Amino acid sequence: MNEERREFIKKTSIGFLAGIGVSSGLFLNFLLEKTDASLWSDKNIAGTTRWGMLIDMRKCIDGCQKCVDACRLAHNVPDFGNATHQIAWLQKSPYREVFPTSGEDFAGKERTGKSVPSLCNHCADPPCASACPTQATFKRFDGIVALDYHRCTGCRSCMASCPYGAISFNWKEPRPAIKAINDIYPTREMGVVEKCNFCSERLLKGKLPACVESCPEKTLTFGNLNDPKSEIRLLLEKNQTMQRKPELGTLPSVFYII
Amino acid sequence: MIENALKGNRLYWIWIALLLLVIVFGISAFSQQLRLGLSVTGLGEGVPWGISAMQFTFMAAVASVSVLVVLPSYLHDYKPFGNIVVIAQFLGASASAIALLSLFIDTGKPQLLLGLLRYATPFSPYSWAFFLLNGYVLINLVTGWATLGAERKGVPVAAWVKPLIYLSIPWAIALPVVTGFVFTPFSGNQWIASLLVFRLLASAFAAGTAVLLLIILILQRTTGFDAGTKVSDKLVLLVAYAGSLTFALIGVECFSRSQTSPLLWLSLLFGIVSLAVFFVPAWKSSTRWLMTASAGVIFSLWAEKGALLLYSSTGGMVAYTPTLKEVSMTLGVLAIGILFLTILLKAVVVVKRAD
Ligand code: SF4
Ligand code: SF4
Repeated sequence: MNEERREFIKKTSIGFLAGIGVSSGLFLNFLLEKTDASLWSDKNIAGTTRWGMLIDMRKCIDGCQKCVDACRLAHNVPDFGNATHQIAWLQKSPYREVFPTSGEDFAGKERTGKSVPSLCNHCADPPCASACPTQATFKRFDGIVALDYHRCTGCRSCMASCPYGAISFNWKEPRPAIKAINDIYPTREMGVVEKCNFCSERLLKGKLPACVESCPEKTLTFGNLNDPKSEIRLLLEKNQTMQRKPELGTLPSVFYII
Repeated sequence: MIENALKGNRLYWIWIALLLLVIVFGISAFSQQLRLGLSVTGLGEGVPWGISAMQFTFMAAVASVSVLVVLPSYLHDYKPFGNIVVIAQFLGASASAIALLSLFIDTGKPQLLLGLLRYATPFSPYSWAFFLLNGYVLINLVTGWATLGAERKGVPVAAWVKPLIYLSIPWAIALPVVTGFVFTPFSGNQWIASLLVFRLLASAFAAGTAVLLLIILILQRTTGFDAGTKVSDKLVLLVAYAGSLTFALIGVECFSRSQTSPLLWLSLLFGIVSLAVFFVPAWKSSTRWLMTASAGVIFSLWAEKGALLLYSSTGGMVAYTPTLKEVSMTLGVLAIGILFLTILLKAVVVVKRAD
């Protein structure tokens, strides 16, 4: 009698647990998502992709906002017009804010006087992705650090762990603050974070990122860092370039020529 | 046992009414936040976290105190602490619950928090904090309730409680560290960062014992429950030791950074002044002095959490003023936790008075 009862309890509880598992999609998730580990490309492995960008400040015009505007337009980025709640994927900020540790304290105005475009660096070792408790921020197979807006709980761990301040939070309902809503890219909701996605939706169609395309001076070069023959690699080879806060070991994929 | 929460004198009911009032204000502020977003708080660009997160780290640290009491009494058979084991366990449960609720009101989409159960990763301190806190509430409630039940019946505690107590040891050590790490990914100076783990632990034990001491002294005054001088002497000693270590470490940081957060200086100042009371025999024998000094230590360690969180990468601290709504929400959460603790302690006091 006692044995039977024990057996019964055992079976029902296993069934119950399995029920919870299935209903929460745990098992399904496990079966469906397969990742090809060889596609992950932290290092410069030929044959794999690691998207990167080179920003040539010698060409950038001070006061020009074309890339910033193109980005806002392409991704329905709201503009609240106040610094506290501002949302930016790409912005131009003073040199010293972008490179606070570059050690160029005494450099002349022509090098450090301009405002510099800054965006998510799509770090090869992104602290934001490891800090995220739900894996809403994650690194893709092509090096892009992407965001799942539906999974983000708005905890802001990623914001605090990004040393570049590249992530913005929707403190308010964003839609009323979008000037012209396009239907190419989804709008976001209040309470989630957002940041630059290297225009992954455009890359899919074989187009260059909106900012790269919009710059009349060809300041921005976009390409595969793992391809030794790509334009960006050739430029990186020939010029002295720098990354933001390289000492932190996040391995940014955005490079600058100052 | 819980039905005792419905019986009480006038003071008890005034206290409950007060807590409920604060909770109502908190809920009303929270409902506005649900509608208008976190823009109702003083947070914003460059200030991802504020007082609610401070409460989260502080309470997670306080929660770990239960182990300091439970361990000696269960595993080393240290008798005097047997008297306050249940109180420490219930404090552990309530403090973790406050920490969890503070996290809850601080997220942009609290309705998605359960997603953590599915997607959590071992790399995220936030994931760890979430799971540890949930587990700690459970462990402490279950062991506390079992202890109290045994006490009421006058029998020894059931055997299955012991493994749970063992389990709570790594839990209590991990809690303050992990919750501190949620907010300190890049805290500048590397060797100070390496001291941080010790500081988080020491300050957790100092804050926890100070809160526990305060609760016991308050119970003594209001309910006539007397834990005995041996217990309060031990707790005074613990605050003195853990506090000295904490403030030494805070001092190291204050004097070795070129730009220290003013909050950390405040913490150091308050801490040292309050701690003095725990060393001077004439002062520490006075209940009033002890209560004031415990409150001082608690305030000081709140400020320490503030310095940790409002840290600005350019040195000093970020510009942040909490809004009234934010304060209401944070206090509301605190009041929910205190109400929970009050109800639990009510049951404890009745059982204790019965024997
Ligand atoms: S720049 Fe910031 S947001 Fe972008 S990948 Fe690096 S750490 Fe993450
Ligand atoms: S705010 Fe969203 S994306 Fe960022 S860490 Fe939290 S859940 Fe992840």
